[in-house]
Amino acid sequence: MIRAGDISKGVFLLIKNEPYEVIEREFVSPGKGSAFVRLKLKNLKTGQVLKQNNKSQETLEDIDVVTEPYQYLYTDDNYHFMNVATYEQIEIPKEGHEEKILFLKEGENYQIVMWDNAPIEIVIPYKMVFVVTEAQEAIKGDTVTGGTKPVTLETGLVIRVPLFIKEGERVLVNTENREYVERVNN
Amino acid sequence: MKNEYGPSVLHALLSSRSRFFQATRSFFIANNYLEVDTPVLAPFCIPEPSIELFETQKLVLKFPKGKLYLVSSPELWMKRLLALGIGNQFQISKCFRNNEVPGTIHLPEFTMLEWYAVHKNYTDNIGFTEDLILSVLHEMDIPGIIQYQGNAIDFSVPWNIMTMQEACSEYSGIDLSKLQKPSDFYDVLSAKHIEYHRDDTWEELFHRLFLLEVEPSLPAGKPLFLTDYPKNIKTLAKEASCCYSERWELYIGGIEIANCYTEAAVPGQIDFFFEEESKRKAQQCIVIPPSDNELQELMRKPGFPDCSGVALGMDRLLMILLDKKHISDVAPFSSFLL
Repeated sequence: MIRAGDISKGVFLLIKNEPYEVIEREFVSPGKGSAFVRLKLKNLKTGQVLKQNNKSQETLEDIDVVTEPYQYLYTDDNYHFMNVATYEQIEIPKEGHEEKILFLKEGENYQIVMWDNAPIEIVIPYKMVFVVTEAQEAIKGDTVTGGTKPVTLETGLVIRVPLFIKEGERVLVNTENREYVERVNN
Repeated sequence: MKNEYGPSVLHALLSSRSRFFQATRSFFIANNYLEVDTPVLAPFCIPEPSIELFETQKLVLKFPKGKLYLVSSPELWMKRLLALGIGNQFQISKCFRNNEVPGTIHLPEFTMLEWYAVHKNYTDNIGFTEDLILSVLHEMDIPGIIQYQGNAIDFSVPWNIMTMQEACSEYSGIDLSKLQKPSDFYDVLSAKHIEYHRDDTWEELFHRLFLLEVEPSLPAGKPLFLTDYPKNIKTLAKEASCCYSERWELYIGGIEIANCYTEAAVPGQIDFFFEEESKRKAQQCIVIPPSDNELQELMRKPGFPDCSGVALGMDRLLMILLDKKHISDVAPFSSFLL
């Protein structure tokens, strides 16, 4: 069990027998009233987002999860991964995890969160390197767009990058806000 | 020393704060309010169970001589001044609250503007507060439409006014007037899959709903006066005939900036507040100062003037005007206290 006041982003909770990940946590305290913890939770089976408030002293059920490294293989209706130590293959339904495909690179290793011997979440690293697969040439003197342009990355993700980035170059991306960080030299 | 600001940033911030305080003072002085200053220490408090106070020990010749508490607002002193016949008054002072929740809008020590207008009520203070903030914007050369964290806030009058009853109906689909007892909430919360406990107070049940569904939905494009709070949230605001108190909170950019009451004048309500809230404070708080019985007596006497008081968080307002995300960005050295 965990006190609501001690919960942080990334904690896994069991609510009505469903596993949830805390994706946002904010303390709220009205000028004349009790303090609450405002949680935004993602159901790891359905992807549905749940908002709830708890008094900070209330306890919730946290779940013990293990994370293990898996190699990403391919996608059909499911994401297919292979355990890098045991070669055991697992699949995770795309449903509820649709946006992950934008960050999955074939052959790359990812941490998979396992609970009750079943995979419940794919951990996307905070920063990842991607190859730019589509980029238009910068238009000279274009300052209207603030010196950036959209490009498509190898996974299909579209982000804005500085004008000097060219097709085939590699860029480091913040996967949380999907923003360009820097160019990576080969 | 934490080097959080370069000298030029610090100078700019101090200049902004100085102009902000000067503009505020000028407005009140032009409106014939007396600037008062009262102690930040007190031997007692107005009992508010949701607020934890800082406690310190008074020494005389190195012998302990009782406890003193840093005030959470200057209310207890300013109301003494009202009882003594000092009329319209304002104060900009440091206030202290312990056990504040982590986040971007709370500091353990912060700057509060508090004012009292005699023979006025909470609706009179709506227009006055608009005038105050518009005057401050003008003096600080801030335009009437500002950007706060990427969202526009339009200060042109009149600002939005919404009663709590309307807000709950609009954003939560509930009829607040029908929720008079704690048990009235159970079906409503269950239907919305909002967790609650049978030992929750009315105030806690209400805030479970308000903080989840209503407050995040409040319109933020203009400042908003959210008025007529349920009287089941116990305060020293005058209770209107039905089920609400003559009270508003000003929200700017979705953030609570100020709180206003028509001050309670009925002895029964004042006694009930002091007695019930003292009990709850004793149950809920870690630091439990004596209740301010003298103020309780003064407020229930016929000589205490009809008036309306407002408390406004100066750091929060400045944070919005300067488009800063964290309150500590506008209060020099406050990050040492976090």
